[in-house]
Amino acid sequence: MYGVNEGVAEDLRSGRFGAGFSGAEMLENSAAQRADSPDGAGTIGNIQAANPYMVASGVNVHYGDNHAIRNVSLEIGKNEVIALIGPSGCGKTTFLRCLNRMNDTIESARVTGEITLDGHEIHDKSLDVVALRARVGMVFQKPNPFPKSIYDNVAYGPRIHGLASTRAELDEIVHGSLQRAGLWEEVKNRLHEPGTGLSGGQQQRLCIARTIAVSPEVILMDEPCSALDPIATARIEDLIDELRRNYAIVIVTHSMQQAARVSQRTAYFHLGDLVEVDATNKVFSNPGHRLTEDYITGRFG
Amino acid sequence: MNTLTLLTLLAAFALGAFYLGRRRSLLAGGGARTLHSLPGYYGFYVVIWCLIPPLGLMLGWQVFEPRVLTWLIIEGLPESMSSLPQGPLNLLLNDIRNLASGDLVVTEVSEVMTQAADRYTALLSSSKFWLSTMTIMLALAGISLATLRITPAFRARNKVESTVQMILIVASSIAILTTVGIVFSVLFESIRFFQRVPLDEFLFGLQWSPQMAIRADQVGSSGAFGFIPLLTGTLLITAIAMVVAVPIGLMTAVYLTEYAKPAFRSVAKPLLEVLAGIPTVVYGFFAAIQVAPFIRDSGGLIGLDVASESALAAGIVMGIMIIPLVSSLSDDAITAVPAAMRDGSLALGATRSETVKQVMLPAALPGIVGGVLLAVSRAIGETMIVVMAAGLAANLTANPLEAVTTVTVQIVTLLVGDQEFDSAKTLAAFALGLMLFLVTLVLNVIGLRVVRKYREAYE
Repeated sequence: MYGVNEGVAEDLRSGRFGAGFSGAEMLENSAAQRADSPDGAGTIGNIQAANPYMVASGVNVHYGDNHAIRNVSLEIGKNEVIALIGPSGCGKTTFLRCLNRMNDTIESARVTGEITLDGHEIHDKSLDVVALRARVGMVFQKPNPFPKSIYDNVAYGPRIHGLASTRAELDEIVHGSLQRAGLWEEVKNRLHEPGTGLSGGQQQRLCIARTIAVSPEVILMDEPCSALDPIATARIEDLIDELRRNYAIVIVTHSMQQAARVSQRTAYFHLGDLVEVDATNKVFSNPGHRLTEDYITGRFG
Repeated sequence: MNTLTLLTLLAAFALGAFYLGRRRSLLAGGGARTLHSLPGYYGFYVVIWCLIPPLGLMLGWQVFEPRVLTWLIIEGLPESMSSLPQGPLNLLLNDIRNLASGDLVVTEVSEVMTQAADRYTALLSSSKFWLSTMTIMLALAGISLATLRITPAFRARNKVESTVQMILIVASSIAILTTVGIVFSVLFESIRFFQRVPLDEFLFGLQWSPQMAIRADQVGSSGAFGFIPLLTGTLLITAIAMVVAVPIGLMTAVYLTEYAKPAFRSVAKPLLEVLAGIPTVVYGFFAAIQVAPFIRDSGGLIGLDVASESALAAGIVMGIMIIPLVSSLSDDAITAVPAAMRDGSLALGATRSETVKQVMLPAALPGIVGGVLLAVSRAIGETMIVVMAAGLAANLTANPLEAVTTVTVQIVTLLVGDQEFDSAKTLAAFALGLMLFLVTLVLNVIGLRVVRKYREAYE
C-alpha cells in the first residue's frame, strides 16, 4: 500500500491525472473497490493485490492520436500470477509493455500516469531504464532466442550486467537458470549448440531461463504459449506455477483456460479500459461486469 | 516494302486476327458459356499464329540474307576473282557493295565490278520483295489455319499460356546467353594471347610493360606481360577503399537503423542513394584535383615523399564512392534482423549499444559480409577514379604513397586508340579482362552464398 499511496500523493502534487479523475477520487475509488462495491465508474472488482509489488495508477498510453489504454490502475503482487485477458487490441500487451518501459522503444508512444516498482516510480530519473528492465524481465509471444549458443543466450544478461566475476560463477548462473526453467536435462550436453536449433517449446523455456538469469523481481509474459503446441504449453504452465514462488508474474493470454489454470487474479481489458479485476475463480465463476461475462462465455472475443 | 511498313502491316493483321478469333469463337460456341476458354484467349491464339511465324521468318532472313547474297555474288564473279584469297576478296566485295549503294570506291572500277554491283542491287530488291510476300502470306496462312481450328472444345487458354511461358523463358535466357557470349569472346581472345605469351609468365611475371617491337632493332623491344604488379596495385587500392568504406558505411548503417529519428532517416537515405548515383568520372575529378594534391601537400609537410598521383588518393575516393553501397547493404542486413531480437535484448536490460554490438551486428554479420564482398568486387572493377588519380605506372609496391595501376586501367590504356587486333599488346587486354572476371566472379559467388545462407537463418 505504501507504493500506491506514494504514487497518488505524487500525482496530487504534480496534478498529473486527467480532468475529472483527481488523486482524491482515485483514493475513494480504491476504498470503494476494497469494499467490493463497484460504482460503475472505471474498473470494478478489486485492483489490489495481497502483497503488492508493482503498482500502476492512472496509466494512459497514446500511440500518436490513438488512445490505447485509458486510466488503468492495477496492483501486481508478489508470489502471484495475474492474467491479463481481453479481445485483441484491448490494450493488454500495451499495459504489459508499460511495466518495463518497453513502450519507450516505440517512437509514437506516450505514457502518462504512475507506475511504481517496490515503491519507486519507474519513470523517475533516479531509476535507469536499463536497471528497471533487469528487475522486470519479459518473455515474448514468439520465442526469440538470439542466434548464439544456448549457453551464450542465458549468459547474455548476466554478462551485460556484470553479475558474474568468474567463469565458474557464470556457469553456475547458467546452470541454475536452465534448471529453474526446466530445460537443463534436455540441453546439458549441447550447451554450445545454437539456441535457434531447439524446438519451439524448448526455445520459449530458453527465453524464460534467459530472463531469470538476471534475477528479476517481476516477470512479464506476453502470450508465451501462443506459438506452442499443447504439450509444450503444459510444460510452460507448470513452470509458471513454480516460478510464482520467487517472482511476481504478469501473463497476457488469449486462452481463458490458461488464465484459469495458471493465475490467481485475472484482469479483463476491453478497448483500452480495465473493466474488471478480481480473484481468478471469482472472475470466471461470477463475473461482475456484463462485458467480462460476455467475453468469458465466448459471446465475443 | 521496307521493314517498318511490313511491321506496321503485321500489327494491323494482329489486331484483325484478335477480333476474328474472338468473333469466331463466340459464333462457334453460341455464347461464352459453352467455350472452354474465355473468348479473348481464342483471339490471342490467332494473334500468336499471325505474328510468330512471320517474325521468325524476318529474323531468319535478317541473319541469312547477307551470307546468301555474298555467296551468290562470288559465284557470279569470274574465276580469276572468285578464287582470290580471303582478304582481297573481302575488299573486292566491299567495293561492289559501295558501288551498288553509290558510295565512293577506292579502286578503279572495272566492267566486271559494275556488272556485279548491278546484280547485287537486283538481288537485294528481289530479296526484299520475296521477304514481304512470304511474310504476308505466312501471316494470312497463320490467321486462317488458327481460325479454322477454333471449336468450343478447343483449349485456347492452355495454348496461349504455354506460348507466353515460352516467351518468358526466351526473355530470361537473353541475359544469361549474353553473359556466356561475353565469357567466351574474352576466353577465346585470351587463348590467342596465351599462345604468344606463356601462361606462367603472365601469371607470375613481376614486370608489366606491354609493348611489342615494330622493328627488330627497336629500343625496349621486348614486352613484358607480368600480371603481378597490376594485381598488387588493384589489391592495394581495393584494400585502401575498403578501409575507408567498411567502417564508415557500417557506422552509417548502424546509426540510420538504430539511432536516427525517422525524419532524419527519411532525408539521409535518399541522399546516400544520390551519392551512389554520382558518375565515377566525377569522383575521378574530385580525386585528381582535390584529394591527390591535398595528400601530396600534407605528405610534404610531414616530410613524406608522395607521388602526385598516389594509390592513397584513388583508394580514399573509391572508398567514399563505395560507402553508400556498404551502408545500404548493411542497412538491409540489420533491418532484416527480426525486431524480436532487439526487443529481447532490450527487455533483458541491455543498452542500445550493447544490443547493437552483441545481438544486431552478430545476427546481421553474414549479410554485412556479403555486402562487403560485393563492394570489394565493385572496387576491383572500378576504372575511372584510378585512371585519373592513381596513374599508369605499373609499380610493384605496397607503399600507398606511390603511383600504382590496376587491371582495369591497363585494359583501358591497351585498347584506347587504333589497335591491331593480333598483337600481344592488344590481346593482353582480354587476358586481363578474363582474370578480372574470374576474381570478381569468385567474390560474387562467395558474397551471394553468404547472403543466401543468412536469409535462411530466420525463416
